[in-house]
Amino acid sequence: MKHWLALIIMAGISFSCKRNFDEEFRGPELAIAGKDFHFISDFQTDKTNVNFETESLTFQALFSAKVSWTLKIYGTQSKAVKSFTGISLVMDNTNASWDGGSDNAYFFLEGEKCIGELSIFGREEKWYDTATIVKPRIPDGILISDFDGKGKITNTWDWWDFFDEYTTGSRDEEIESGYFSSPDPVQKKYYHLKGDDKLGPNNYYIGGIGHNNVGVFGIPYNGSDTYFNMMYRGSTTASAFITLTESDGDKYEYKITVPSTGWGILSVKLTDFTMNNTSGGGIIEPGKIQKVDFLVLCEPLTIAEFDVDYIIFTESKPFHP
Amino acid sequence: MIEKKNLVFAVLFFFTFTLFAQDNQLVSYFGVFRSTLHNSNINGNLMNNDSLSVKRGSYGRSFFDLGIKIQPDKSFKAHAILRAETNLAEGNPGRLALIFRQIRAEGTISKVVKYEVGDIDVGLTKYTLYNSEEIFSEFESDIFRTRRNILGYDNFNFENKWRLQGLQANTTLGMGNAIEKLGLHIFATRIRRADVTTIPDRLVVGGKVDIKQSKYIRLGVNYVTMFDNLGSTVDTVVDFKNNVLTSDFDITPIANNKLEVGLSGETGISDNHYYVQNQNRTVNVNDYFYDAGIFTWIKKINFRVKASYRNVGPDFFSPTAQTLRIMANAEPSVFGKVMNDSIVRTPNLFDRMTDQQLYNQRIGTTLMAYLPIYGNVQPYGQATPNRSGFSFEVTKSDSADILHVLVKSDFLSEIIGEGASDLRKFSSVQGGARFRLGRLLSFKKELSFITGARYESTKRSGVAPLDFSTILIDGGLTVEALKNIDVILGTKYLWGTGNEAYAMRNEFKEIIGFTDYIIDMKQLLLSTSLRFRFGKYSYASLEYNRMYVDNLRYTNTNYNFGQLFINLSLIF
Repeated sequence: MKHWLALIIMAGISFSCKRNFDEEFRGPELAIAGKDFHFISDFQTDKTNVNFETESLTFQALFSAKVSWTLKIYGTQSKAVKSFTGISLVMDNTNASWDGGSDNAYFFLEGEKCIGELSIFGREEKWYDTATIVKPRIPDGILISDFDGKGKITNTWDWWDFFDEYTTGSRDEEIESGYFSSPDPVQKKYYHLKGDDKLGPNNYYIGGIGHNNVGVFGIPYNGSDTYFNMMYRGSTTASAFITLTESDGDKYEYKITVPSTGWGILSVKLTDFTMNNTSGGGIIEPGKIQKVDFLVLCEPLTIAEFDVDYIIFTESKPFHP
Repeated sequence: MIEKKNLVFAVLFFFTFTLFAQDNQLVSYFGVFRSTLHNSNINGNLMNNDSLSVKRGSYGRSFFDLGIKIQPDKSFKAHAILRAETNLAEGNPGRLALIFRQIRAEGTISKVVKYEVGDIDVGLTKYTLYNSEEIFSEFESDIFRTRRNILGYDNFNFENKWRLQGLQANTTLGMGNAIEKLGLHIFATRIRRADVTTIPDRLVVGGKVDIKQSKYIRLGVNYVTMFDNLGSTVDTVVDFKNNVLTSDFDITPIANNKLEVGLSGETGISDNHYYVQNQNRTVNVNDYFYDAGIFTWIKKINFRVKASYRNVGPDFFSPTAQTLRIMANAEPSVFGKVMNDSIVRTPNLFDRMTDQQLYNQRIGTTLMAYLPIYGNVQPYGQATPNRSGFSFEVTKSDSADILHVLVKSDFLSEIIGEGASDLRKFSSVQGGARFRLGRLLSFKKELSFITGARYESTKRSGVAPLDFSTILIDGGLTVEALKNIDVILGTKYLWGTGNEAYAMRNEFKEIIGFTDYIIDMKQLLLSTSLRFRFGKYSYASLEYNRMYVDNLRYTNTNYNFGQLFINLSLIF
């Protein structure tokens, strides 16, 4: 009898435990289309041609019930993609208004036809509508260089690279550097550096990328609210130090690893850089920045690749194409 | 080609042990030789207009696992298993790989404590340290059981244990009148090696104290901790710690020659800490579970009934019990890519049973992805989090092992909703029977039938309605046509239909979204085999399998898969 009693007490203790949750449910809110779901008004854009310099494009629909939806916008020429997700009864300018920007490291192009693809959670079908971009969006920010002639450094010959002495020479046939023509990610050129340092005493150091002095860039933002942004890609073996130099001698750097799966966007607040030269007072002053340098490293005894494009400073928020 | 250093090492190894064997008869050998060859082809709508994907191929391998056991005295023995393996499909018979598959030393200290060091198989309870089956397969044809055993051997899936590297020790002590027996089991293993700079060693340490007070009461305390050894690296980029402490018990107030009636169960807590430097984020969660029920065993007719209730919290995390042995979306090794070699083919029933490439041997730190069609009620085994409800189990077998019947059912619910406040309701019934007709009729030869089935249902109402169900059916026949020559038939059928929204999780196990899983798919596997047995465990078999995968919504993705499989297994 005492065995039963002990167990009943244990069971009672266990069953009396009650969890208190802070939230009503786990994960993002979800509404699934039921069997009687239907469109009350069709999925469509509010215009067929759009000038993103002056206007936005709205995708519209009215559903019979609140549902979770995903809108993906693809460029038919670029690799740009923009996505919206929502949970609503209606799609309108409050939740499906597009300013022409993209989510990845590609730009939508002038004259490009874009396809909006709507998916409803719980439905296998997809719904489509299209629009043509008359003028693409002009990104916010101070562009330093797109390596195609735009930005503060307009001359491509102002950019140069250098290699560790052990990376250069006939002992290493893997060295490549310079401008490469390619549609990725912003139509034309980007800067490419590739090499190894297998024979050097510092077999992690390849070299770097720098530019001639063109004067201060004239970034009018506050030091605590400025982002450094660029597009980049490379090999998993590569890492790099980004160094920003001010006209007063202050230097600050930031170490990155490089995405190997394609172009990515790096956005770093200047306050996250590490000051390594304080000769100018050690205060971050974006208005005095005049140089952007890259020092590229590789894993020991490997080959590393590093590509950079579209270097831009933004205010208050990370850059989006 | 064998690498030179491996060859030198292997020759030295065998030379040393051969000398030892000549001097000391306490050296013994054991081993497994297996050679498999299959010719496979894939056809159907999926492969139409596909000029790039592989559609037919022969694949095969042979390996010889030579185990050498040395036992200088009764208190110590060590063994190593050296594998020589060649890939038959590469067309280069000289290409041979040599690896040490397993190294272990074991023995006893003062005839009381047993210990093992090296490659060890570790297991505790279903909530602490347990390697769950990938699907309900208790009642399947001998053909499939054989294929699963081949894979289990390669993947070290022995008795639901995890193969880890470290040491373990256990002992059983008689304690006198108050406590009949006291069992102790401890283990310490390393599951990841530090890279010196940023990734620390990851260790799994734990054990069990098992107290048997009498035949009426048994109480166990189980503990497993998995943690990063932070001092093993210069910098700390991740810091993972997880503790699971449970107590399992059996209380059997009625225990006599005719009947046992009692209660059994397990209850416990988990505590998880995870820090990721580059996200500057730390997440700490803890939760608990309890699982208890009543059981009855009528010994005369060998009839057992069990009813239990469980409540496993949504944040209960036990990586060594919840890690899956299958990577659900991994690329199959045979016909891995389709649609002009561009899309990874989702593994089907047959792939999951036969493809080593899909199998996972690493304990994870988050809940792995799974596919609902293969099991949605408790995808992470008994320890699946966010489940509460009742389970029932009935088994019947006879002393002659002619008939064995099992029926299990679960009626569970979520504890907190996912994506909506409405809770999913889960129900499942699974079971089967194995009938050895040959024994009933006193045949000297084997004649047996086996059949199994599982039905699962998931439903949710409200703003995010779900209605998803699956049926899994197994059938098998084994006939010993001539002495030691068996003809075996087997079939599996899986049908999944409806919609689910299964969670996508980040590395902190948090739900970050849902996958819209809408499916109406049937999979049918038909197999036949001719098996020649020689010795208790050795055999050769010739089998043919045909797998049909029909997507009823998108018939252009339907395909069928044929495989002729030849297997020679020698175990000594």
